[in-house]
This record gives sequence, C-alpha cells and structure tokens, in this order.
Amino acid sequence: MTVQTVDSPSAPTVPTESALPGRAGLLRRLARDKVAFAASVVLSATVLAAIFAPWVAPYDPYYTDLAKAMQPPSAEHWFGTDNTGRDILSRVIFGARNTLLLGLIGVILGGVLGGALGILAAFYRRLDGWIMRLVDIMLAFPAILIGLAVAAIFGAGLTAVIVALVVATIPDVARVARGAAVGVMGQEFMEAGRAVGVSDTTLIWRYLTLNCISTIFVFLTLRFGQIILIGSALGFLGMGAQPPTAELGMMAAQGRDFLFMAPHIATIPSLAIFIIVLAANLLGDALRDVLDPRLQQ
Amino acid sequence: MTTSLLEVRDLRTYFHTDRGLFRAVDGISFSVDRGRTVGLVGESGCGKSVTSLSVMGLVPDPPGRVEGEAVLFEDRDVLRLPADQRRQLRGSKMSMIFQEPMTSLNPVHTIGRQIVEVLLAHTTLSPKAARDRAIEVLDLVRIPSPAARFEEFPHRLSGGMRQRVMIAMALACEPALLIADEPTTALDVTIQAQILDLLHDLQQRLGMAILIITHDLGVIAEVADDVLVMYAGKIVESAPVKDLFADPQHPYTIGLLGSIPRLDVERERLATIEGTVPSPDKQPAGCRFSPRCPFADRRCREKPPPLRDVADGHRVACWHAPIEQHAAGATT
Repeated sequence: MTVQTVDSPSAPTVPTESALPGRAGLLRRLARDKVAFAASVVLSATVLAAIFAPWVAPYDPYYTDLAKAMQPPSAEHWFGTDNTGRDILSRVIFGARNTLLLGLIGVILGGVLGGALGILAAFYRRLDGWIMRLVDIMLAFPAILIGLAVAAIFGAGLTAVIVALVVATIPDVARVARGAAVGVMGQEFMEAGRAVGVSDTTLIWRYLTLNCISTIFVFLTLRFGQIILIGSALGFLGMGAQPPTAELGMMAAQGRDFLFMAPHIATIPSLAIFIIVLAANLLGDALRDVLDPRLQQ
Repeated sequence: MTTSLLEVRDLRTYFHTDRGLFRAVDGISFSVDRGRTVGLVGESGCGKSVTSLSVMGLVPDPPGRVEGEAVLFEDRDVLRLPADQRRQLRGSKMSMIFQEPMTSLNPVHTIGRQIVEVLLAHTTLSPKAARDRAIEVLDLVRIPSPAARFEEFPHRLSGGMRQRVMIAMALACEPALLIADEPTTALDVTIQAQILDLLHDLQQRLGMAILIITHDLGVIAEVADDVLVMYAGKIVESAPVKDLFADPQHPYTIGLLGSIPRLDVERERLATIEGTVPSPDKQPAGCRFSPRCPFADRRCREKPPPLRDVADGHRVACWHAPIEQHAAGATT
C-alpha cells in the first residue's frame, strides 16, 4: 500500500483565488450577463459595419442630390437625407468608421504610452516622482483645450484630434497602471524573480506588465466611450475631420443649422454617438466585473 | 587554508526612512563554508531577512543602503560589483527561496517556462535543451510526472509543490550557495519535513552551501551545522549546532530554547522572554538585550558587549558569558 502525501499529484488540485479566468470561461460569463451581451452585439455590429462600410452602406456617402435634400426617413433612405441630399444612413456608417478609428487610435496610443509610464514609475522608484508630476501636469490641461491648441498650430484635422485624444488618455491610464503595478511589485514573485537573476527587461515585461495588463485593458474599455465623446466634441467644434468627410461629431454640428426644419440630420448622428458610447461603457463595466475576482459571488 | 564560500565582514544595512535611520543590520560578520548549512535564527524584526537580502543584493535602494566592510563570495567582494554582474551571480552562483510559496511564482506563466527563463538567463543552452534541463530539475525536486507538470500554471499546484518549483528554479543552475528564507514556515508540518528532507538530499547531491533563515529552532536542530543567533540587528551567539543546544551561552538563546516545548521535560508552562524587541529608535546604549535580560547590570546597559570566544567555535556577545560561572557566582 502506498501512502498518499498531501502534495502528491493524485490529490485533487484546488484552484485558488489567484486563478486567472480562462479565455473560454471569460466569454461564457460575459454572455451570461444580458446587458453585456446586448452591448457587445451592438458594438460588434457597429464595428463590423464600420469595417465593411463600402459594402454595407446603401449609397455613396458623398453623392449629393439637391432634389432629395432634407428628406425625412423613408423606405428609400432609412435615416433620411441631409441638407445636400446625401444619404444619412450611409454617412452614419462611414462616420462611425472615422469616429471609431479615432477613438481606437487614441485609446491604443494613449494606453501604450500611459501604461508604459505608469509601469516604469512603479518599477523604477527613482522615476516615480518625475513621471507622476508629468502626468499631473497633463491632467491639468483639458483634452479639448489641447485639441484646440494643436489644431491652431498645425491646422484642424485628424492629427489634432488624435493628439488630443492621446493626451486625454495618458494621465488616467498612467495612474491606473502605476496603481496596479505597485500592487504587483509588492508581490513576492517579483523578488523571487530578482533572486534568480531575471533581467530588468524580463521583470518589467513578463512579470510586471503581464500581471497588470488586464487591469489596464479593462480601464481602457471603460475610457473608450469617453474618448469617443471627446473626439466627437472636437469634430463638433470643427477641429477634427473637415467636410465633406463623414464624422459623427461633425455631422451633428452640420445638422444643427437645420434643427427646426429637419431635426433628423442632427439627431441621428448624435444618437449614433450615444449608442456607441453607451455600449462601450456597459461592456467595459461588464468586463471589469468578469475580470475582477473580488466582484464575483 | 580553506577559504569560506561566503564571508560577511561587518555588514551594515540601514534604511533611511521618514522617521529616521533604521539600522536593520548593524555590523555583523559570519562565514559559510562550502557544502555546509548555516542556520540564522532570531525573532521577527531582528534583521535576519535583511541580512539575506543584503547578501543577495536585493535590498531596495532607496530606502535601503548596504554598507559594511565586505561581502566576499568566492573571494570576490559582491558589494563592489556592478549591478549587472551582481545579477548574473544571482540564480547561477547564489540563489534564494522565499517563505511564501503561494505568491512566489509568477501567476501568468507556466512553471516550466519560469525555470527555462532562469536557465536561458545564465547558460548558453538552446531553448530545447533548457526545456529538457527544466524537466530534469523538476524531477530532481521530486515533482511527479515532471514533463506533464511543466505546462501547469502555479495556481494549479499545492503549497508544497510550489515550494518545490521554487527550489527547482533556484537550483536549476546548481548554485554554490542557497539562501532559504523561512522555507517551511508557510507549510504544513508534514510538508515541512518533506521539504527539509529534500533540501538536505539536494545539498548532498549538488554540494551546495545553505544559509537557512528561520525562527524555528526545530528546523535548525534538524538541518544546520552551525547556528547564528541574531537579536536586534546583531549576532549575539554563534556556535556549532550541538554546542548551541547543549550549552547555550547568551541569555537570549537560553530564553529561545526555553520557549520551545520538549517531550523529555515535564513542565507546566513554557518559558517566555519578557517584552519585545526594542524599536530601532529606542535602542539601549549598551547590550541591546539588556532591557529584557534577567542578568543585566550597569555594565550591560552602558557598554555593548563584543562577540568573543568562550569555547572552540563558540562565540557569544555577553558580558556575563560563560553564563554558568555567572549563575554559580550569583547563587554562592
């Protein structure tokens, strides 16, 4: 007879609280949340429509037909036409493409830069004060103001919006990343890694970053909605995409002049922004709940 | 003349905190010979962990500063080595394992990957060869079916198994010195015995020296050849393990031995040492143990006692040592 010791492999291994949720389990848990499921359906539909805009859009978004100007929604033009007779559905689809792309670039660039700043601040204690003061300074400037300033210097356009969005994303991400990284730094495996001579690069990347990436990712999904809002606001102010390019914020601004004659020209792009932002926020919330083991029953 | 593998000379590790200078380790000297096991005992906060971190070069700076005369490892002063060479030493020539096996492994990588990482950092092995070697090391620390376990994530393993993986990581490159900081404190008693047994066995096989840090005198009695007793940042007694248990000289050591249960002595209650370690900013001018010492007199309170020989290889920092004479003198 053999005696089973407690840590022999045949003893059942009990997953502990530090267990990372598996990918499949994550999706399943997301799908179980009805709100999150609806949000992800809406968001993926929007993203797919934006990606395949040239094939999805029923009309050319830039084709003007003054004879059909300012028509209300009909079977022919589901969302009606604007003041120059362009099909609003097609323009919303192409507009969503630009708006989403701007938001995505802003969030990814800002996320990478901010995440790197936060993680470096946590890893190199000497840099901490400098980096976080820099972040505080960035935090003191409203994103819109930066967008306006960049637009004033380099001219209005997508570059100005992207710079503004990146600047708007960096400080908060840096703070969240630093917070997460400081927590990971306090864990024993960082010291254990050092004790066996793991290099700083490996420590930063494979130990620190990989352990805070889910926190940063969830935060970025939560920020995505806000970033789209700021992007649209800059478009609305005329600092972003220039006509005739379709961009949701700018379309809402153009429709403003006809608010009483043809309210759908302004309201439909605004509604599109609203729905995208709402879906992004709801999905971000759900992701946070799913990824944070403490919020699970 | 045989030189020691590790020779620590007047090591001082200070922490500069907002509340002033904290002398965690205050001028200690000791040596570890090749293949020997040295135990470092003391209660919480006496500086034993900081000592090990100082030797490894892992003291966070700021706020910590490691000063002192020298830490000679294989006749090289590691205190004066550039950071990069120091890192190369860690994991290849000197390694360390920690108290908390549950959190000592990186949760996002498989255990195999973590061992391979150490091998790739210190050897010229190809990734394939490193993988084979990692499986070999997992087998060495007696992890069953190592090839299958290679792909496991840490959270799938029990505490004892994780500690084995930690040991495998630390020993992958066959270091000359292993520092074990409370390696068994967080484990069940049965697992403790297994891990100590494993360490002893690996030491025989690989011929490494072990510096084991613990507050558990039972562990010391089981594995150590020599013992260092630390109190408030200083070594108060050092002796071969038999001498220390048979004939403890420092009142603090005597107190420590009195506070472990024994089967062969009938006793109502265990002896305790009154009070706690004095906080660093309120250290007495003389012997640091004097406020808690039943034998303390004026000289103890005013002048710190030097560490001096009382018998062959047995050194004590106490004005009253050898203590029997003192006790005998007190009763007559």
